[in-house]
Amino acid sequence: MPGFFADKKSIAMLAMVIFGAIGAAAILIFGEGVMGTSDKVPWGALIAVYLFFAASSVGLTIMSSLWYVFKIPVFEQICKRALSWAIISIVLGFVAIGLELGNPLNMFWLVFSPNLNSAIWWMGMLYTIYLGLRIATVYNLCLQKDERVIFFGRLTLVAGIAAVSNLGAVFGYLHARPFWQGPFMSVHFLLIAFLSGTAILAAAFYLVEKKQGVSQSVLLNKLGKIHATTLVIILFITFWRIISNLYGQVPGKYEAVKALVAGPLAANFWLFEVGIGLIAPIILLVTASSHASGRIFKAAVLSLIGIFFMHYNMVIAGQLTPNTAVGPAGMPSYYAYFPSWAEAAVLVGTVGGAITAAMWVEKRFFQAKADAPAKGVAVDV
Amino acid sequence: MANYVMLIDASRCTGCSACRVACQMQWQLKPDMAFNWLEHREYGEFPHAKLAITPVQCQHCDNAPCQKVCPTRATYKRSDGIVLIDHKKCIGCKYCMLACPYEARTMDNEKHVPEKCKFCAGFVEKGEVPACVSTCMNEVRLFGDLDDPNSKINRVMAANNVYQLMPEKGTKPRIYYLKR
Repeated sequence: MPGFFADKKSIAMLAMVIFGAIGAAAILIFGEGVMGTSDKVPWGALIAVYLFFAASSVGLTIMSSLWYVFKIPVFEQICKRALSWAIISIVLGFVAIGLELGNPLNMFWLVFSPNLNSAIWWMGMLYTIYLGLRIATVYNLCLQKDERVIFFGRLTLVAGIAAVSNLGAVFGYLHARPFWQGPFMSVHFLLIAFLSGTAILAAAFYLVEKKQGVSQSVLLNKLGKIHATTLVIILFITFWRIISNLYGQVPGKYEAVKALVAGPLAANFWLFEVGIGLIAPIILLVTASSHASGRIFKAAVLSLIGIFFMHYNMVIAGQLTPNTAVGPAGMPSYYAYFPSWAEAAVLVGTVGGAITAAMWVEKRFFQAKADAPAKGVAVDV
Repeated sequence: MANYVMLIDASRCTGCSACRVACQMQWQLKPDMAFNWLEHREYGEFPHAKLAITPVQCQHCDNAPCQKVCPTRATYKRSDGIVLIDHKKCIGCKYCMLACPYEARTMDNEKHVPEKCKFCAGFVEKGEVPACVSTCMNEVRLFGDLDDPNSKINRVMAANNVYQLMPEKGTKPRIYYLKR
């Protein structure tokens, strides 16, 4: 059976998954000993991997709702793929957070000894409900029960928005971490989720249409425009967040932003988050006379790299500043954190796993149908 | 029911770290794990520069953020004020480590549980005092029942001005420091 990609690409993906499995095994066996985390920086790259996939899943759900909820016809064709990829994404997110947890087998206590005041308890519950509803949607899709699909699709949108905004609250609730504290984090997570959804769909539909021999569809054009608009909004928010925190010099926030703009995270921030993740894709998208599909694809891939660093930088910047219970003198300027090989392997493995799973779903459920003209499939321009 | 608090007179501390070692022995901790530590701060300018040493540990807060954020209630507060961890319920999410403004938790890499000072619960119930208190040669720490009008800690606190660490965080710590 011919692969969705060339065989070499499939082999490369498999190698990524195997590398990730080795890293995961090392973490399961040796725990914190093979992770870059410490008592001072307890949350590391695996949390960023989890956030990337958990937020992306909700972003895909929001995009699929453009048809299920808002009935915008051009987005009908993305729904089935977006639903499937949303499940893949959240499952991989659960893999990352499962590896980060010290005692994942104790999670049954979330049911038998719940703390409703804990944002992490709500995170677990909301994402479980979200995944359940998402699976119910796809199950009914397979049964071709359209009314149920729309019903569960709408419910999943509500659950997804609740889950991803609560994910922001996990950080926003913490009074001990001024850089995170506040309601902004929930909005921030929702926006980045939406950006992830548009970027994944733009990149993937470019490949799907390339495979189908479609030159450039109305759908891809619209995805490019939505993507560009979201990028500009996030750049705008990032700019003012940095300026206001530098100007206000609120203890904890100021040092964290200094870590981003001129401290240990400066390269990550300027090169990957701002340069590759925001500026470069915006330039690619807005300087084209019309949205060339190649540019939309490149912008989407660059954005996805940037989105990971948005999560990573946010997680690490919030922990690098020492809490100074007895005054600042004598403390290090910043705590140190660098991802270990095992954490990097899990990132590589989950990305490889996501692409491999999406390829399998494409081959198994969509490729045969795509050869025949389907309802709402890409329109040439 | 007792109402346990600790009073620390940081001005008496010589920085010998016997409190840290005693705690490690009491709880059989590895050398890289500690439930209490000393913060060193220099202040003033030459020739009047001085060094202030402040013992810090879990503050057993009445409004404990670590307890509030724990998803499985693994961190809990007893009616005598001591904040403890139920290991069997801990999922190892480390949220408590992030929620604590005093950064008082330390990861036990064998049990995968973020550990901390236990106020020597179990020992104090038998009438003993915590190891960091009994071992100190300068009586830097006082431990006792604030509800007992005859306790030494009650008398000393009533006769002196005291302060708490990071009161702006609203955690209501059970460790007080003598103002000097």
